[in-house]
Amino acid sequence: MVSTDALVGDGLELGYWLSSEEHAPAALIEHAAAAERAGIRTAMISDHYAPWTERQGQSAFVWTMLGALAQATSDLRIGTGVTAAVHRMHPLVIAHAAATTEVLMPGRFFLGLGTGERLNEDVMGQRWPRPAERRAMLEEAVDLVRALWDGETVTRTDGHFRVERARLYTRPAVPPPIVVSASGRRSAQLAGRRGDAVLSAKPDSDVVDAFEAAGGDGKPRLVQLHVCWAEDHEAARRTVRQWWPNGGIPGAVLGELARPAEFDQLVQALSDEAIQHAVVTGPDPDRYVDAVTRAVAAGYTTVYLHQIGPDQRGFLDFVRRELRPRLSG
Amino acid sequence: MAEQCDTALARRLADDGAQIVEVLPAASYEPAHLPGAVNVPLKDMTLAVLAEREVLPDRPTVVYCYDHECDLSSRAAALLDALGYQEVYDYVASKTAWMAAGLPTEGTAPASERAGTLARPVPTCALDATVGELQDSFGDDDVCVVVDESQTVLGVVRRDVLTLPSTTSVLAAMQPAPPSVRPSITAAELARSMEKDGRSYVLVTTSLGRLMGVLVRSDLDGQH
Repeated sequence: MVSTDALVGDGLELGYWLSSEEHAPAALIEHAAAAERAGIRTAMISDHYAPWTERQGQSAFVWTMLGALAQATSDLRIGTGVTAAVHRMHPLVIAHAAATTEVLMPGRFFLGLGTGERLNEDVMGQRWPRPAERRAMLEEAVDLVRALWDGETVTRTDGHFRVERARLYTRPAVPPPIVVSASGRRSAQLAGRRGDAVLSAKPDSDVVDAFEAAGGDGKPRLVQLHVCWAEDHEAARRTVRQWWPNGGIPGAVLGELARPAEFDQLVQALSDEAIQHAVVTGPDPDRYVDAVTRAVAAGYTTVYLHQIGPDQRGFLDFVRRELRPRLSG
Repeated sequence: MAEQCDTALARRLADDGAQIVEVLPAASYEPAHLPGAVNVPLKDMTLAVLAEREVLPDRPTVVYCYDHECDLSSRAAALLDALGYQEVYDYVASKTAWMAAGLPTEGTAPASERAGTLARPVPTCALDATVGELQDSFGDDDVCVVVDESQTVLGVVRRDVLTLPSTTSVLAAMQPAPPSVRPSITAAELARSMEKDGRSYVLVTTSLGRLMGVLVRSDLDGQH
């Protein structure tokens, strides 16, 4: 029996994104603790091998981070955003790491799973599978992970992943929930069939509807929202250009490039408008309220705010002072 | 010279006693046709057949076929005109538009298997309402449909918006393009398309976008 306690807040929930592409490990720990102090109850942390661009410069190993985050926070519910079961991480290693994390932070961890990006898998030197094949791998991985969490001794001689009499010795009493990332109808249906929740990189009512129709009805729906708070609007836009130009890259391309240098070349060709398009910038809280409202209108229950750039303290203060009061009651 | 007519005029002419003639083959006529329509397929349209089916030259006559892309009604109207019929109307948009407007039909295909009949009432609200005013509006439904005075669909709000501040406007919390189907679609077709497209619900609307009701997947259980 899966507990979804780690996913369910009280009404609309504002979450916080720990961007391990942009921040060093110690800074991420500080940000998580600061978020908790600012009253934020849930966070997600990126699971990357490499940052999107060279300028971002970081990419901590997420499972090491989670061990530290389990100790540095006391109430914050944290999930991976998202882990891919393609080449770099075999599902039995994911199941192992996630089970240990859940034991370290019971009821506070959730496993985000997705079909991955070539950026984080190409280093294994293997063929990059097409989306349909990766969806099949993801579906197989979810079943494998759940079987291991249930204490089964698992052997698989067919399918995408070989497993030889695997069994987890350190297991939580109640397994953590699995959040499946979805960007279109097929992955949303997979999330509805296999997941305990869905995560979208941007609000999309069709994704929510497909998730619900495929079995996700009543389950949490999470969405990421990229923002850049700063006292000065122009300064915020400069920070976006500097730190998160990859936000302007179409989803279909995002998964297909192999190196940060390739993303750097691509973003050079993007207009400023494209880069800023999906980001809420500046000091005006109404812009943030509007964006969160649009996400809720599309059917999402938790909105994870990703503050682009170094100023996390200022942003968390803004959430506490300006944003949360406007979104409650 | 035959005149063209739209759905509203076709309806008025039918109410006023015009002869309604479907010019498609019998296989198309039998499952569903306009109420009181006589079937004279264009390929059989001779004075003898018209007389036998009591389609009289001195009464107003409305001819129709499948839809606006089908030219059979225009050719039939021209032929009737040439045959000396006095007042001929070509209902260009034809049976598809009639059914899409949610108007009744007769025939062997039971109306009970079409979306227009199966659609259930759904809560509605106005665009200028606030989220706080919707607290008791949803009942057992997960969506409330935003409509104007003519019941034209402007969008939907999901129950989830109740988590937003009560002063939030429906305009801000609305999803503007909910999925919709025409009342003429059969339950079996709809069940198949909802499964393929991953839809949990659809609104049933007329071709003018006016709300007739809602259907969720479970309303169509056993239809495919």
